[in-house]
Amino acid sequence: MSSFAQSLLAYGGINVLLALGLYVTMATGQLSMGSAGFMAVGAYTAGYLFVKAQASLFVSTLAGGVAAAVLGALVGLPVLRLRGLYLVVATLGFGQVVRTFFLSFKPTGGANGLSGMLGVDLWQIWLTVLVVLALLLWLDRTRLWLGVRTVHDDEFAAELVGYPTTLIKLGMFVLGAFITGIAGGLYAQYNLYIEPQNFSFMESVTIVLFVILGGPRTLLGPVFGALFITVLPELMRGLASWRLAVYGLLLTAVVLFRREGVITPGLLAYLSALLTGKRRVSQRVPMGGQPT
Amino acid sequence: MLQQLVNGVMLGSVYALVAMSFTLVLGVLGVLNIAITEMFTLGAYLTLWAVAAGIPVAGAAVLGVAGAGVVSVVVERIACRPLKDAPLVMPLLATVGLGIFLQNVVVNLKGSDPVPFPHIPPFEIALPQLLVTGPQLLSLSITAAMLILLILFVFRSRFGRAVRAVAENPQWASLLGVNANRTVSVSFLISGIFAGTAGVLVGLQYGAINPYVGMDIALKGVAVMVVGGVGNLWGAILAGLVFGLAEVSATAQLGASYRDMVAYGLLFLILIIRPQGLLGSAIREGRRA
Repeated sequence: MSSFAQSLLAYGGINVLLALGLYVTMATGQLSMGSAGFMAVGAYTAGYLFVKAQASLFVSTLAGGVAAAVLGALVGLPVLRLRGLYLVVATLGFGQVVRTFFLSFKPTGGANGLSGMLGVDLWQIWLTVLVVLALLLWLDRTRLWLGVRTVHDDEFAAELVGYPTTLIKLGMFVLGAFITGIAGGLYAQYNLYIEPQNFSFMESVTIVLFVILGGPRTLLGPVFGALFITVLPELMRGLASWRLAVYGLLLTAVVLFRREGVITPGLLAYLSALLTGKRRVSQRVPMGGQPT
Repeated sequence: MLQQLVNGVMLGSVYALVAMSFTLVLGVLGVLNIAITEMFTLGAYLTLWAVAAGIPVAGAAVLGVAGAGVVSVVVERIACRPLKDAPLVMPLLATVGLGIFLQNVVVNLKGSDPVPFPHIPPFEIALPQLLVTGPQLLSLSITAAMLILLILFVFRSRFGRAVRAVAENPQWASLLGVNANRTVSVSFLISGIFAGTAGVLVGLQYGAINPYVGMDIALKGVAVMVVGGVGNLWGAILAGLVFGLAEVSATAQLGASYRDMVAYGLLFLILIIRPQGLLGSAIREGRRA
């Protein structure tokens, strides 16, 4: 495999993890515009431990996830009381605080960035993706996930039937931060060099685009969205410098014309009915709501 | 010390302009219009374009700002009106998309490096301990005039009453004979003009502009708006000044790299202890919820 294809696959895997992290958070209906913040914490923790404390690849990356999760719990506790726009603004602000913190934090290199990582193999990235996917597939079948979906659809009703809504929202926020932190750790290891600018507001928006484009209601959606956006620049090489402009239009177009994303539960049901040849196509699966 | 106070007020007035721009749209339509970041950039760049076409600076600035206002109206038509009944993050994301698009159009046409801004005739007040430059003075007076005009407009004029009616309840406003769509369009126009003016003033003060300043300053405008209390015009002014002064003193005391941290730290603190903002009343649960 050419080194170009390898790097595409590696970033694809990392992006899938980032998308899954946000997917988990959004599953309870909480939109976060601060994913890059958790990614940065994971990346810097992993990079620092690996370079300065000689921790192993596994330990340092895992520590990145744990650090992001701990921060997620600390931030989530107050922030998840906020709803709608306030939550969006709070998470946006959180992302900016983290970025500017690393900009002035000298032990991790400040604005000069951090280097000295030695790389990570492709199979290690994709093994992580598979483990996380397996975990989420399992979670999907638990009673807990039923609670998650109930909170998403109607938080008030979920509370009435006795779900611990705050705990569910916080738990998913922390799990999302953990996955995002792991992704950040892998990013630091693979990229060999990180700087605060890697974790800007634009990065958070791109992660949102992964999930919104792919579809926030199925596990397959964010995976598809992340891979598609990773490959997209290669599909339109001629437009090199217009790449970000196209991302922007794409985001607007998805929101305007296919609000549930490309892959919806309805689409999956339709496809599986087609494939198994069962004529249940007309029996439509409810689309579910949108993230709020 | 006095110099810092002056610089803080200057910066704060720009934040107040941008925060007004956000709060106007948010109040009327319930949409956080992230594309406002690029109305800021467009105001500055369209002015430069008009200057290059041979128009004198003052006229060019008016054209640039008007252009930003018009684009803002277009943004509403594309990204907000079709999504009237969607959950509130949908129009937000649509405006994020348009903002990224506009920013990169500017980057591709004009490059990502800073471009010089025309100097307006040099003029300054230099006291022993204090230096106020012409652009600063101009900027402060324009900002003050615009803020006063907006507040008069919103609270004293017939159209301002329509704006407040639509903000309160668009259906009822329509029933009572207010043209809600036109009111929203005009609000976006004014909002774009405010953000565009902030862009031009920042260009004049610093003598240069780049395509990314808009995102930096305007996202802080969102923070200012929240700290002041969403939909509260006086709050936007107060919080703008607080941010300006806090940032200038953070730069002086701790170093330039702490300035954004102080600003967003302030946002965070307010969200946690007083989510309705400094001057906000109880939080109105988003009517689009």
